[in-house]
Amino acid sequence: MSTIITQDDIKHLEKISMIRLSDEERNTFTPQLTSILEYVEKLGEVDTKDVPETTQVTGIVNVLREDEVKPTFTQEQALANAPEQERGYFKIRGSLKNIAADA
Amino acid sequence: MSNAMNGKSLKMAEGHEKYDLIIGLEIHVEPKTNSKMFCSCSADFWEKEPNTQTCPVCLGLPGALPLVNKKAVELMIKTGLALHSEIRRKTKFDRKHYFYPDLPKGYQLSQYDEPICEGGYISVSGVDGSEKQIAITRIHMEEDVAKALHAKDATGEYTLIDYNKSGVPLFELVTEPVINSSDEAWEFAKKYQQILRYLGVSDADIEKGQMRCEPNISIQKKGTWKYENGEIIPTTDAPLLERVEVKNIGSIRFMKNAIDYEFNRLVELAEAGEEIRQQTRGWNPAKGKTEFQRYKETAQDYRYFPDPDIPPLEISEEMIDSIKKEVPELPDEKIWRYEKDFGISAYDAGILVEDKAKAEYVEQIFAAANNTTEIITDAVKFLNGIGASWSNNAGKSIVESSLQPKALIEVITLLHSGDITRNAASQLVEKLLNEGGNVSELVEKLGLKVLNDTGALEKFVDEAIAENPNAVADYKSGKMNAIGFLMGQVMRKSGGSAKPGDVQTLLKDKLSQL
Repeated sequence: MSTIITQDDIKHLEKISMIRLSDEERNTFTPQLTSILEYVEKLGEVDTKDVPETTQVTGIVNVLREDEVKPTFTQEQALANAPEQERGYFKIRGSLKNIAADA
Repeated sequence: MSNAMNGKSLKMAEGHEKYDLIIGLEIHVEPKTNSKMFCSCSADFWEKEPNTQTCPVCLGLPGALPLVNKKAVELMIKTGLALHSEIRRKTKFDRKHYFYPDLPKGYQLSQYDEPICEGGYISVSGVDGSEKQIAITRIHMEEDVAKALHAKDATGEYTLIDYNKSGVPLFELVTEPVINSSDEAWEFAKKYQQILRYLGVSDADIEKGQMRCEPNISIQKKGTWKYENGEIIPTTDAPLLERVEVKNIGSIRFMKNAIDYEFNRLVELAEAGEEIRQQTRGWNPAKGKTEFQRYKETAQDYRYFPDPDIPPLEISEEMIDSIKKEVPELPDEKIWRYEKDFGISAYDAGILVEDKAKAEYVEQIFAAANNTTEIITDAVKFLNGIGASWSNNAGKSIVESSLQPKALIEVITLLHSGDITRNAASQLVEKLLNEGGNVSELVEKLGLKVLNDTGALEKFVDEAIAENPNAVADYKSGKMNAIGFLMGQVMRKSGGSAKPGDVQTLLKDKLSQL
């Protein structure tokens, strides 16, 4: 059971991560990602036949909050780490208009 | 109707003979909560200064811990109960991953395989006028994204982001692909909006983005497909035609227009033998057409997984029972009851219950009438007659008029006891709508009480005969219509308080003696 990462997988990852790699980078990352996945695949050797799928380990349920408004960041605090800002907005360079995911 | 319109509807009719229209709806709604879904920032972002309602949670800062808004969950359960959905007893939140600057965490908190509400329906009028239940697949909870403004300057294109909206609770309702006309889609969305308002779950104001409708539209040649287990599957060897999703629709009316437009566009493509590719389009209201946005070539890869920071929810029977008690009688139930109890037509009843405030006003009127059918029948006539035209003219709901529920019933009681005429009752209702007031005082002041004094009536009749010799002569010469004119004269003298029947009898009597 081995996982082979192909160039197509890398291209798919580029797309959903919204980054662009050069051919050289692709050639570097393809074997790297393959070896990372092979390492993780070691887990596949463990027999989990009778182990239920687990996504929570605390056993806690129903952690709910009352619907109350509490003080929040000021605009200045919110924008403190923004690389660029304009009229109180975060400002991002580049054209993003047509790449919105179908959320 | 213009020729162009004729041509268009003709084309549409031909299209419907050959193709079926298949629509599934996705409707997003922001419920009315004070705070956001997973943090205590205000959820009321409308027209607020940008980025003034944010915190580490909704800005996606490292280490921030989301906490579920109890009210939002309760409102969704309430909505599900009203729409006949199953409420899951065990539910959880999942991360839906995609990269976009309006989503600072890199994932949206949503629900993947355990939505709070499953199934349910809203009834609409089907093609043949009979009731059609539009099946709801699910309603799940998620969080809204930030507002992104796209602009351009000398240095190039850029985007401005306001995170006030980031993390606002959002319901996503998905229907089965069982809607087969733009009218059905329109009615479904209208009724969902009406129910949300009745429940007090959301104002569902589309202009404020509180409700967003996105139809998935496809056409298929008749006889080439069937709907089975929630899916549209081919029944011939030919592949099915791809579907189109329309986004950014600013009103329910526009959604109907967008569906009609797409139907025609898709039929034209299919008839021309051109390929229909799966795609997302936007609605341009100024041009009245949909515009291409992007192709959906690969299946979405959102890499959903359960959010490890949010413990799952276990919804108790107790919680569901207590929410059930808060679900009010809904429009469809009211219409059905009015029809059954008072013989009010579904059409009339529909007008009476169009919004909750009006329905409550109508209930007060019915209560004041002691639920007596005869009185209620007349009350409905006044409400949907004079009342409706008053609303149209005033541009206000009848609830905002000066007509008190009890006053309307007093007027009708006087009408039924024969103390005032129907004409006088209409005058009174008109007056009460505009100015309100005490009914018996108004009757007195306006002299609307029926003239039971035979002496006074006789005087008016004598006067009318004396003053109108021509009409009298006409009548005597056999023109029976002339009596109508004389009656009008007497009614005017009585200020509308004489009973037409009495006047006619007395007039005929007097004229025959001449």
